[in-house]
Amino acid sequence: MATARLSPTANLLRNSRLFALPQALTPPPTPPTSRTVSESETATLPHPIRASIVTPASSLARGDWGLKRPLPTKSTSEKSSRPVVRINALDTFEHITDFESAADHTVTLEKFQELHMPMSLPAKVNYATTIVPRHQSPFESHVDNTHTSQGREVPGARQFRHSGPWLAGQTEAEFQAYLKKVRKNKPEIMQKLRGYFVAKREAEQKKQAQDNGADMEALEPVEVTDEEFQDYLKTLRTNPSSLGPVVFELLDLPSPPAVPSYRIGGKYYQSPGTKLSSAEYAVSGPPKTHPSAGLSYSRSHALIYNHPKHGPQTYQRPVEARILRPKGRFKGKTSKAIAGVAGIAVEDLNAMTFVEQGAPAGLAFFDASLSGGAKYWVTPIRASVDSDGRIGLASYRASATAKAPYDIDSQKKPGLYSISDVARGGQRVVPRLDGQRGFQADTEEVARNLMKNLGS
Amino acid sequence: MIVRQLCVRQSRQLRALPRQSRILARFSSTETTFQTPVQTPIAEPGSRLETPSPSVAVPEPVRSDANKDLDKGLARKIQFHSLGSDVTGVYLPKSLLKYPPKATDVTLEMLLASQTHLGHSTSRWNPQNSRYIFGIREGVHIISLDQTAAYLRRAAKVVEEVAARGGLILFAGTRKGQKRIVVTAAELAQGYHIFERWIPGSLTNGEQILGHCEKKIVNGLDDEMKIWQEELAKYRSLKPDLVVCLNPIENVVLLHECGLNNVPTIGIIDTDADPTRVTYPIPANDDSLRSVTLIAGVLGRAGQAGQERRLKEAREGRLTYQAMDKLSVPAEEKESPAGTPSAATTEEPTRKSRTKDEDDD
Repeated sequence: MATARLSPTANLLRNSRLFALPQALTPPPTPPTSRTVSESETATLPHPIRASIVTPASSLARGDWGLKRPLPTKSTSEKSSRPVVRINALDTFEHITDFESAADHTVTLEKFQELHMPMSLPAKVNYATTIVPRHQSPFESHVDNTHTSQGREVPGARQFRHSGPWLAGQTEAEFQAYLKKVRKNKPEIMQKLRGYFVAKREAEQKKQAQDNGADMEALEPVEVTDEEFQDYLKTLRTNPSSLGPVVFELLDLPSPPAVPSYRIGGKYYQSPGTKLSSAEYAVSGPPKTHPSAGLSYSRSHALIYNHPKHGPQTYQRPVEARILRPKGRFKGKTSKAIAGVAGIAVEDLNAMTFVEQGAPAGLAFFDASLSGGAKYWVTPIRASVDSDGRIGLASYRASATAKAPYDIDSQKKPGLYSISDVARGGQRVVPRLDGQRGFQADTEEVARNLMKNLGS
Repeated sequence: MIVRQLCVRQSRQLRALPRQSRILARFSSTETTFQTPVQTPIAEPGSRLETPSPSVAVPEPVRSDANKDLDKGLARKIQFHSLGSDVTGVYLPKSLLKYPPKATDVTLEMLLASQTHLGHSTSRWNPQNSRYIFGIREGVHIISLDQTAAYLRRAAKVVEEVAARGGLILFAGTRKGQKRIVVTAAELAQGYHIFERWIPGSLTNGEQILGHCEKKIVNGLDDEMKIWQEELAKYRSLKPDLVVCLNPIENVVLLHECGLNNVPTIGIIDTDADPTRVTYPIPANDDSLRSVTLIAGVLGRAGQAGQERRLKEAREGRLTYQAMDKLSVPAEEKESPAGTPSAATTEEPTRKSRTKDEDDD
């Protein structure tokens, strides 16, 4: 009713598709460190910051994307069969529409959706044990709340967003700016605190009446004098452990990380327990997006593929992972192998520090003899988005039972000694990179898996 | 013998059916019942088939199983293609070029869809265009849609009236991709077009540059009047009466010459162009081909309406423009055209080269 009256032009423009494009997000910040950070400027960002645009085929042939000028076919339709672009600027001083291909993120999304994974709330994956934290969907009604939603009034409800900033993640300048803002609102905050105090007194009165067996109906409304309120303020000021929870409550701040153990004995501003939906958020900060990030909207991971020949399958179809970095020492640190699954870099969970029997070739060391690079089959088990907006994917190596229905040929198993000639450096012949690798029935793995299943 | 008989009949039948259905039936039926003898003899030479055969009289052509399958397949195909919904009101890019709208049919939505509202980067603006600018969005100026519509209608009226008075209209659009747009608009308005390059001096020094081009004199119904060459040489070549420039930024020389020769001009003025260069500006996006197609199409349609009006008047014996002096026409031409003794001169320089375009000469 109270909408401003707009001219027909303004109304049309407001409702147009071009104007409906969301503003660009801020790119993920570089880590605040004094060390030199060597990152590629052209690398794919961890999450998209601009909307992707497509155009129908008839317009694509003319280069018409609904923008200031037609986009050249050489970098759109001649480069890709399904071009998707993102716009950096509609027009620049050089009379150029600044655009680039958005296939990096759109194709990653498509590949991710082919994994048929639900999104989970982030949880710390413990590498010491092979137990992966349970799946908890961010769409459950008791965790899918913001600071404005009704659902958070329910006792025990959690939320993924607070109205206040995360103090632990702020720089000094940001914190000072926030303090200034809070100081400006002092009267309102004092009023709120007064309301808080009244509610506290009411609760005390009620409790006392309950304990004494008095009539609950006949309770008088609590009257708080200014003097009482000032006394309450004084007690809060002198006692940090009682002031802490009140401040977090009043300003609706997400609770900070746990207090380090050496400070527990001393005085500090105690914070209430975290209200955030995942304990991981208390450590790394509240999430930037909805915890699902819109990657998948299914709640359950109890999705079963019904194979036409072999019936329902426990595992989804395994996917091939490219080994991006074999395990070993990297930048002076021992690290796990890193594999690329559906365009997402994943640490190999199964990797052991010792030399493994029957590990996929190329995982323990770089093997130049593998044509097309080293790959192995994995079963993704858990996907979540951390507070920076990066996708975290956990995957196991695909077992023989998972691979069996799909007729996936496993790579050639290394022999009894898993160290190949290439690694030993004793090789005297140049490996043929274009040769066909022989297929061996993986009987040993099948047997081992069977034993594992029987045992569990 | 009998086999051959069958063949003749079969091939006639097959000829009656569309070839496509035969293929379809073969692929779609799971139990294929084609007999090879039915098919193979089609390739036989005609002379053999024409040999007279003793038993010709077969009253009813017997339909084989294969043919029945064919019929069924055909029926299924016809039935299948009649299913589904007709999608109407879809945007087809080619329709804008082929069937441009009239100026009265131009809506703000159409202008918005054609991206006429997108101006240049704010750092590129010409402050003289501030009256056409609606606001700034994402670093570019947004041209007001209603301003564009109003100026487009005015320009369309100008084109229509010039065409109705027998004026020569020149469409000039020299950017890449504007060729078809310019030619279509000129064809509609029965004007002339340039899509490659304006040769500087074609107006100011036209006698030298285009003087050798062919001239013709037409009457009120646009029929060519035959006169002697020596007579024709006495007439000076004409200048265009209106120039429509789709990219004024690149054609500053053309617009300058038009200004020197008192030729009115219409131009698409983007936010970085100088609106004072043209007589009738149309504030719009001149980079998008879709926007230029719409604007040129609307002007072409207006020109078409004007030409139709002029010819209608001429058929009723009225001239919409001032007639020129009597010609000394060759004897056999004298009592020819439909009661319009006075003729409009329209010279068409038909240089044999790729540019049919030129304006004046």
